[in-house]
Amino acid sequence: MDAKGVFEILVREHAGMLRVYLRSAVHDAAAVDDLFQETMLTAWRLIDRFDSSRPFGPWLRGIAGKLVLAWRRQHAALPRLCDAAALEQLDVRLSEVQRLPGDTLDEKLDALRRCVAALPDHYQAALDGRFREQLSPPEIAQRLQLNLETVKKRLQRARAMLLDCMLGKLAALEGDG
Amino acid sequence: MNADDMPMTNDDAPRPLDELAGGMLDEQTTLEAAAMESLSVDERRRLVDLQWIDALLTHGAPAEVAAVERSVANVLAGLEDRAKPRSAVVRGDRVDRRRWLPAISLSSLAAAALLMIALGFWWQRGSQQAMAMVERSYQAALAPRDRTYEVTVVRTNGSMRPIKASLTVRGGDKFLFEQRGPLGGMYRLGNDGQGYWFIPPAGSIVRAETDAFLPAWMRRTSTDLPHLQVSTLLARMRDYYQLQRLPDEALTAGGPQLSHLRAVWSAGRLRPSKHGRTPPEEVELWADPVTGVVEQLVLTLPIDAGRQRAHTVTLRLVEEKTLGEEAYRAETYAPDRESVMAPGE
Repeated sequence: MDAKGVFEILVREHAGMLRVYLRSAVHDAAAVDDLFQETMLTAWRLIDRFDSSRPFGPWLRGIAGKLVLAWRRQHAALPRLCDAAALEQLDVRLSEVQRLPGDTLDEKLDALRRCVAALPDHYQAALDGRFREQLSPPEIAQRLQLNLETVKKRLQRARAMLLDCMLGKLAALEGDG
Repeated sequence: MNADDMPMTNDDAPRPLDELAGGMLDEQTTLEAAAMESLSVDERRRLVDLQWIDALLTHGAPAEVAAVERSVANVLAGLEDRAKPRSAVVRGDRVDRRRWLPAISLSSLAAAALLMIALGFWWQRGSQQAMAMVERSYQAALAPRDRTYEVTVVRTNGSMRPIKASLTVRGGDKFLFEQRGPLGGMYRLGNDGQGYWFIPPAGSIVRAETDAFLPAWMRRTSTDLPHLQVSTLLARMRDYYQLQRLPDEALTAGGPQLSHLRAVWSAGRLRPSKHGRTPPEEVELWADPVTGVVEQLVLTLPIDAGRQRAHTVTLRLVEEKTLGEEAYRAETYAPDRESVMAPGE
């Protein structure tokens, strides 16, 4: 297998994690697609600078972070916090996710699925509408026959509870390690 | 609930910062620079963490699964246009391989080797058009619509009576497969988005987190049909098959012209998986040229030595309708039966 073949494997292995990183910082789906492509092609161009004794994911996120900051400078008010400190924090979080059990990102996200399963049903219903069916809060309100403010509160609270749950799992992992 | 999961209370009101985050994440409300600067360090960290949770949740959505695949395909296409880095040319592949291998898992290597064989075929034979058709059908299959397919299974090259069954799918994760057994009892197999379940004509509901248990279980219950999920099949066609676009064709006299392609297994020798399933050696697909919705699929499987199992499986779209979530839940069909976990779960 040649260098390009090996690089293709790395692209596939790290695609999910890189998209989570970009989606955490950038709300616009088209911009995420563009930044993903640019990050991977930049990585290919700079591949000789990669130190193979270190993990590939953080190196890739380093490239992506610089591209996100450049993109950020061209956009004034945005619905995401994505300055250098935020990107550094996201990098740490994804390195922690990388340490969760499982070979693939999907398997590692079993931890998140368990957190979702532990939520009360009405929070799960709101999340299902928002993330699985990709509905807006008014559409979820209509679907669940709820008042819009109730849906917004449930989404906010569900997200906060999931954050607490995931941080607890990552902290437990740190304790075990 | 697992012991390590946090206690869930639902009566606390969201914090003001969580409300701010909710506006940004759910309604794309922009945050003015002044408001951003007024946040404390802890508030900024929490906001970033909530953005991270939101992105993790988005990662599991069917549309994002497709977007990841599309992004990877675009990068791989982009790599085709780029020259190999100079040092890789100078030092040669042998050196480069040694540098990279420690970072890659063996399973990924094996999967990628299969994928690269398929990818090589796609580009060499210029089958982007067929690839685009499969991709469009894949996206349509991921949409949260309920579609019912009539399934016809022919065994032993037609020397035994064909079996009829029904498959209803929604998106990439929910399905309901129904087949009447030889004695008239109904077998049902499904996935409600949380896990797999199987209902024999009599006895407990069998549940499992993965479908690994199904082949052996179905053999034991004389239900030897392949179980199918349209989106999974399309993803495999895209990854492991050589695609050939065929002339548009109508399935019925006077019916609409449909896009048509043939996919031939091209990832090495056909072998049963560790769960005992052998992939089809050929798949023919007819799809709506505009929406990509699969109208018909014909799978040709290798003939087994015992000539007992399916040889061709035809899925034909019979209707699109809107079903409730309960249509994919086992309890709907067997409300009084207890559930047991499949062996090994």
